[in-house]
Amino acid sequence: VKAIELKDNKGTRPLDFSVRCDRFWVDFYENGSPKTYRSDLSFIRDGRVIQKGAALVNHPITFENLRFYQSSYERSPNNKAALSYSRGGVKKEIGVAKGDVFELAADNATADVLRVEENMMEMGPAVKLRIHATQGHVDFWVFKHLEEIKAMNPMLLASMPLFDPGRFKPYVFRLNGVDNKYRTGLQVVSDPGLPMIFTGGFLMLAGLLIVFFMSHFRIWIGIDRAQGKTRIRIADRSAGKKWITERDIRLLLSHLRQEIK
Amino acid sequence: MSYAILFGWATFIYFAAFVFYLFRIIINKDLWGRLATLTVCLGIVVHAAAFLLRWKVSYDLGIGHIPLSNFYESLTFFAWAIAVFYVLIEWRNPQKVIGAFVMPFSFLSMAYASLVPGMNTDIQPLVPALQSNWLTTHVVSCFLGYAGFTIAFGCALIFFVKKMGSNHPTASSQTENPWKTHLPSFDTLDMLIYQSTALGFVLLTVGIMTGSVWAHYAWGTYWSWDPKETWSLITWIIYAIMLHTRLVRGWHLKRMAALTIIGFASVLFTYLGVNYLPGLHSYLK
Repeated sequence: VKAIELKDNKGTRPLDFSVRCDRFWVDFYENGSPKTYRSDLSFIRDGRVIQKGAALVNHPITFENLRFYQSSYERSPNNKAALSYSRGGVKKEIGVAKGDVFELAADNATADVLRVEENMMEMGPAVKLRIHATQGHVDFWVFKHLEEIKAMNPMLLASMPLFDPGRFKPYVFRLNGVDNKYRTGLQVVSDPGLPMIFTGGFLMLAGLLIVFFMSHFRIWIGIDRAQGKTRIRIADRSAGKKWITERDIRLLLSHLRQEIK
Repeated sequence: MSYAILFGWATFIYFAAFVFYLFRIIINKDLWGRLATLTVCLGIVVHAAAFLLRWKVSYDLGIGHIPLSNFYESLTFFAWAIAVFYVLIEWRNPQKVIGAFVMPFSFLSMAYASLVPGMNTDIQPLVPALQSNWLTTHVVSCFLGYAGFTIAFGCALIFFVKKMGSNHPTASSQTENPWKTHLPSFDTLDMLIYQSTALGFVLLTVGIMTGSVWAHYAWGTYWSWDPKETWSLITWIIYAIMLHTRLVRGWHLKRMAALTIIGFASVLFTYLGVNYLPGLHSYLK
């Protein structure tokens, strides 16, 4: 990537370096919830890799005053499927994506790749093909885990010819796998005001602590004894409201009375 | 012993403490008050043991994290925070009666956590958005703040219970309910409301700040007007108004108690109501 798109459609800003995503992956826990989103990035200037590192959710990577966040990802719509087919004893392997057309030259037929699914109806990777031959066309799915699907549903091919990878005779297709391509979405933030914000935050907290937890009034208590009696005098000086002081003195007096009792 | 059993015991002990505090008010024997305080302390210890055990079990499961990550865990922590906050207040200010108005919240929070259908009480792995050291600071300070507001709310309830009837010119001290005379004085309630609200306010401020710093670190923005953020700001403003009117305008007693109740309603909405709105904090599925 050589430029970044600015927020609120303010155009793009070119970068004087480029960013390459070497690898992106998603990990899942056993219960299916996501565990990690991670992009391995390389920062390149003048053709040289200057810095390498990973951007994870909650763990951005900093490069020259810019922070790169793992913000989103999506599956690439063009997944590649590894197909193989055999005719007689001859086996061939090809890699195809949705929309590709390949020729089955021996029979003067062509095959359209209609769909490439990473997980078709919870039954695993599958590819849908349409074979055009001289006598018309025929559609069918090629599932990677056909054996397991058949084991669960023995009558499958008889009732659903669409699931038969050998529907176009004499070919038999096999799907070896679909590789998922992901695209990673990165967010870039430049934040020169960070020290200011932290200073502001600490000042605010300090202010709150001073307002709420430091004493704003003083109280003097004098005890003296005259003619066999004890006299307690209370005086105060406060910056606050008069009623607060009054209340506190009332509370103090009631405590004192209880203690004396 | 499993942590679930310990959580169950803590729930029961909090309820027992509430009953003892009620006895303290009605019978007016200090024995009940001391028993109640001991019971709350026992509840706190048992609950802390359950918390630590759940923490340990999560590591045994290989998904170790502090048990503060979902709605169930937050409710139980809320109950614990209320009990701890209350014991501190009682230690500073030996007014046993307040416990009867505060401990029900501990108990209810625990009961809600274990009784509400669909509550996921399992230890779940942390999704990437929560995998951060900020989680602990943010959640602990927010919930200690909520606990402070809960105590203030309890005091405001006592205030209005005491106020009820006592304004009647005909009601002399003889005809009044005798147990009402055991309630703390208006001055004490006013002071407790102010103290716990001020402490709760500072903790909520810390909670919002740590949340904002975390958001900046995790998503690159300090504030994104997610419903929880908006409502926490509303709550913060209500309590800020309350503290200002007190310190600047000198509002006290009844007005303070009324504002405390409004503030607590806002806390409840921030905590529970917002879960029904979509957003970053919607940990209720």
